[in-house]
Amino acid sequence: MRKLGLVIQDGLLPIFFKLLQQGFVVNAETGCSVKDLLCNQLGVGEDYLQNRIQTLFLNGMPVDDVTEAVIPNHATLALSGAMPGLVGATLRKGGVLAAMRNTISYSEVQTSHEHRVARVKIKLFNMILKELGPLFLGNGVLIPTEKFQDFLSRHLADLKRACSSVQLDDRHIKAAELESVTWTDPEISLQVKSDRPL
Amino acid sequence: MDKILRINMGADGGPSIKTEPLGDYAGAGGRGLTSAIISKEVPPLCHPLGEDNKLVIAPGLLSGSTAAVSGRLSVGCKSPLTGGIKEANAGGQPSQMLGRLGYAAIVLEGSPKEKTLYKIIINKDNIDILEDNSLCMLGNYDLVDKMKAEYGEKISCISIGQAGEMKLAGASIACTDMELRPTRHAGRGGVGAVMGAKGVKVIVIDDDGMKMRQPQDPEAFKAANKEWVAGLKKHPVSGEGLPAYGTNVLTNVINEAGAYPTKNFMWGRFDNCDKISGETQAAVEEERGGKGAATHGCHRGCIIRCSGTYLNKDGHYLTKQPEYETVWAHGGNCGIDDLDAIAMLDRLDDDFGLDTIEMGATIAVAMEAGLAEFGDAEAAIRLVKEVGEGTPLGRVLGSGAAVTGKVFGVERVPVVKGQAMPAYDPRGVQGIGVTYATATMGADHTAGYAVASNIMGVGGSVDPLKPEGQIELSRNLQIATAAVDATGMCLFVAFPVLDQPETFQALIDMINAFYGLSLTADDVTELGKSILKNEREFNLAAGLTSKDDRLPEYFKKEKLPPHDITFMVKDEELDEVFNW
Repeated sequence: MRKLGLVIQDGLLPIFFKLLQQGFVVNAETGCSVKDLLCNQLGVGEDYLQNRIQTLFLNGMPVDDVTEAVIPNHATLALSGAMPGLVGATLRKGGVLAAMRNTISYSEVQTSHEHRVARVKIKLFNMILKELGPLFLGNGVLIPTEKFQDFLSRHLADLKRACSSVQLDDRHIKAAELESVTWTDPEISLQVKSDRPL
Repeated sequence: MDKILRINMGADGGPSIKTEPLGDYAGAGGRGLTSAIISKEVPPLCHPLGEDNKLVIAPGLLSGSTAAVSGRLSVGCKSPLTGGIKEANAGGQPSQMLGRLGYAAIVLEGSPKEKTLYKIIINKDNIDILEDNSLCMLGNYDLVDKMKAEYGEKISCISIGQAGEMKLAGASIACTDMELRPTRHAGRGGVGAVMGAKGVKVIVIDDDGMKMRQPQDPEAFKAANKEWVAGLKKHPVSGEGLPAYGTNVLTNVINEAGAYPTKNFMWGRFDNCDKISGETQAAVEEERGGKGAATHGCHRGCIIRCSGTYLNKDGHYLTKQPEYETVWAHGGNCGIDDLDAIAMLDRLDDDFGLDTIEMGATIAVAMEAGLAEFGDAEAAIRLVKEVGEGTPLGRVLGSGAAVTGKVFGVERVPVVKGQAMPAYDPRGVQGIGVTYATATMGADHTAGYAVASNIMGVGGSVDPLKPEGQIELSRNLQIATAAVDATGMCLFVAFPVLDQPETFQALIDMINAFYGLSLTADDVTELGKSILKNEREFNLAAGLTSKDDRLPEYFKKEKLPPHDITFMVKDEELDEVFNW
């Protein structure tokens, strides 16, 4: 898998957010709780999880208790802020309206969990996308190559203008050279850092 | 705001005007007033388009004051779509202006004896009702431009497009926004058809020379409003999420929950939803319109600012920021993932004066019937244009999803009481299904929207993890929503009120300070109950029974992917919602 590392003007980071909205993959230890994954492995603050991430879906199921919901292998975890609308409120973690969607709520049925490193797909939405996007991009994410190529076709000019460093695998290149890179693997490893560190 | 303006469109010799004090209706506003007048004065069995129906237009209790986000306008009548009572509401400027002019309601009565189109001009000195057949079959945009040219740029308009003139059951009533564009619509239930049946094309409101309404206790009101504003601003929904992305922020989340009705409610997820999400939409709007293009209030005094401006690819104004329901109805529900096409459909709906939810649902039913392929945006635009042109097919489509389903023999028609369901599949979120089924208005996502039972204290506390809580929650939410609708507050105040008891108290304090009252939370609950009671009794007298409080049968039989669930709430449980 090809590894691409970019250092970019701080103001341009949001152009990468659409990739994160569609979902990206991280390798992490599974069999742990949602809270353990986010806070202990991926660097999300506990206060942030409690107060800002108001809506979570584990494999499409709304999660009420982040300490009890267990991450299986190949899980998809979506993170959102508080949402408007009756249904938005209904989906909120541990909310008083949770009964209104009880048939799709996450409920733990397994009694033991194997801990292993596996792929976890993460989606970031709305305010969480803005706020955690830089953290995940800085840590590095796996993106489908097809999506990245689509992104590149639309934003190459931005990258040429705003990238101060481009590292492809083990060598530094110019942003303009990205156009001619051959991307053969189904995914690429992408790391994007701001020229103004967090 | 101490008078009611009654206009009898069917009076001998032409429309007649009567201004009268509020009388028995004192203390009512918004939905509280529209439903009180309809339930008391309209014969439940009358034809919705006949002379006995009335169209009531009422600002909220605090409209026209300095209270933040108090600019919702309620429109009530007997609905040509549901056959029951209807209240639809909209933002925009008219509510604030009517409030400042002192009108608690405008009531359009009777039917014109001739086929004549009227415009009504209201200012602080006069009310003029003028024949103007030159307005015939104008779209809302051209109509408002014409009014602007005649009456200046400081007016606001309440109007109908071609659909209302054709008295189609999907017709809306448009209210102009701060830019004097007809973008805010009382959409649901065919209220535009009733305005058309009264022969009124447009009501032009000019509040020049009028001041803000003054509270009885200015100091207490000022303090409560300050607390109110602070509560709205500090909450993450009203203070951050909505201003940044608009209501379409819901697309990704509802889709992830598997409750996003896709291709006429066949699936709960739309693969390309990220192409039409609020996050993507806001990025497009800012790219084309500059930073801040996705942040916009629909009326003066709005501090939530969940609207925006949508420019086309050439940088020209196309429409306001399409709402979540619109993006869903014309987008995922029709398999369309092109934001520009969806924005065009929103523009056409606004111009023709059509409810975007009803039209999106209808086009999806038409697609299932084979009139077009799911995902064919050009075909969807062509079908909506047929409505504006008034072709035979267009008139069928403009009559809504239920009629279209019957005409084309489609079983999967997502309606309750004849009104199309909004953007949440009731199999994914069963509690919303309870509200769809039992709401007095037909399938309505805003009917049970607002304040949680633990704050309102209605019917005791509910264990959120027990399934049976859904009935009680839906009931409590419907009561609370009716009360909020009476205030004229935007429903998005619900979330700060839900989470912050001090913000709910600030709302009550504002009403008390404004009117010199001493209402408590219990009184507000009773207000909500009385509104629902009026509406329920009207519907029963109009012939609607518990058999109408049901979802279509297929929701109980067809499993919705990805969760593969059906709607499981029993009929006898649904019948308990109004058993308080």
